[in-house]
Amino acid sequence: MSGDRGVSRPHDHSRRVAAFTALVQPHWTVLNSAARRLSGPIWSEDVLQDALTDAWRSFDKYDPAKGDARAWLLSIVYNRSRKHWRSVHRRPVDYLNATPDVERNSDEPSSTMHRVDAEQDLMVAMERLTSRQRLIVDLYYFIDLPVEQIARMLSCSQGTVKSTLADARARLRRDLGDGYLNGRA
Amino acid sequence: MDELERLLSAAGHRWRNMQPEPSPLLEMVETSATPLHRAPVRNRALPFLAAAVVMIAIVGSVVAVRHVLGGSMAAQSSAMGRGTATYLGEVPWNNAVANRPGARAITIEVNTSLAAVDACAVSALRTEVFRAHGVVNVRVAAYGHKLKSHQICAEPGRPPRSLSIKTPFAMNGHIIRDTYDGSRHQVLYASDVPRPTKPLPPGYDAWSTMWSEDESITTQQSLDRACPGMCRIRLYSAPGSVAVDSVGESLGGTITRAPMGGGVTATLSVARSSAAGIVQRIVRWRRADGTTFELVAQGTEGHVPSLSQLLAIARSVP
Repeated sequence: MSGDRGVSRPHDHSRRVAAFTALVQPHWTVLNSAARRLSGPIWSEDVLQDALTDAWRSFDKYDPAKGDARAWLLSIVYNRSRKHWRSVHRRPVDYLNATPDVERNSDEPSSTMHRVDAEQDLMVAMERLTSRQRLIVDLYYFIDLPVEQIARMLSCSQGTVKSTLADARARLRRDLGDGYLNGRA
Repeated sequence: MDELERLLSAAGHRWRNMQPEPSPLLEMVETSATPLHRAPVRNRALPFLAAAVVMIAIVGSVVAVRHVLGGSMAAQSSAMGRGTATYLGEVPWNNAVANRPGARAITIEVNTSLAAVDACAVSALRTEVFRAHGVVNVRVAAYGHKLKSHQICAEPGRPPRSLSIKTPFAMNGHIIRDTYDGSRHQVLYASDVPRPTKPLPPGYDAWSTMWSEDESITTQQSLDRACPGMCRIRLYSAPGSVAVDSVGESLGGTITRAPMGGGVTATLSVARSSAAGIVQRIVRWRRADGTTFELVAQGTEGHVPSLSQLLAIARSVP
């Protein structure tokens, strides 16, 4: 990000605050989404708060040359959510509960109802992905990050991200069944 | 794009659209509060402390700084009691009261009996206030001397302690968060604090009133009186279920039922703690109006009233 370059590291507190805020502000919405997706709606605020505290503490060490701010901040959110779900011994996201219910209406077009059913089935199938696959599917499809940013965030190559995505899709396709997917079209 | 990709993209799009607007990013502010996992500094003349200060000066870094997110920030450390105490753990608090309009200070009640620490080991409490994500957080940490393995708290439970803490702005009517368990509390004016309204059973004095603020202000009365010897009886009442002090790891007990009159049945239970000789007897009943009562007697065996004695007291509750 062009705006990340030349971030000063002032000792003066107010300048440091301004610099940090300027760094975080453009990514605030996506950080919120990431926290909600990776740690669930109930814990997301706590995770985000801890992640921002971590970021603030290590702000002086942040080097824009090693990656853009979004990837840096997202990786902190990811690490925090991992720590969190490890500490509470639970799965990172309960997809079924994380996906809002859609009120069924008899006047609704049947295609809409089919889509909702298909999404529910998709969430169930996502539960069976490996944690790595699920994470990358989350980041790519739900948080809408490009492959390049996911690779920076997870410190891996873009090829690894793409192959993990392909593996995840293959697993989902196998679980859901091609016939099922085509039937929902 | 095949059907699966379309489905994933649509699900992702729908999920993003259904997310609430994030709360605004607030200003990052730092404070000079000492981290709570560190014991309060008591004797600055101690050589190792002097060496530490010199080292800190040399490396030019300040390690005892907390950075937290907040629009305006207040942090403080306060201590009750004295002693070269060690960190025992966090302690829950409740009953946040703003004593006068516009004051940037509130009073909270800290009940060490409800924490996972030995209440009688606590000699000092430290508070920290920070604002994050638009919510003011209050953390209370307990310090003291850890009990030796053969020691137990002689007196079961302690009355809550009041602590006055500074806040970043006038807090009356606002919600503040207890970092102990993430619970949120509404700050009330002193004049709005709910008072026990139910008549007290014979021999009881009001000990404290707790209120919860999840949806509406509901009160829980705690009334107590001493029994002979090492024993205390408490009566809790609340609109829903009530939580009581535990005597620690239960070594088994009995549960029986008894009629209370008016079609109400009480549950009677006994639990024994692994702590030597501590026993807890509870009579619990629920009235037709939904109010739950728990009469809890806790103390050393031989001093705690029998279940039939407790049942008689329970039946005398107006």
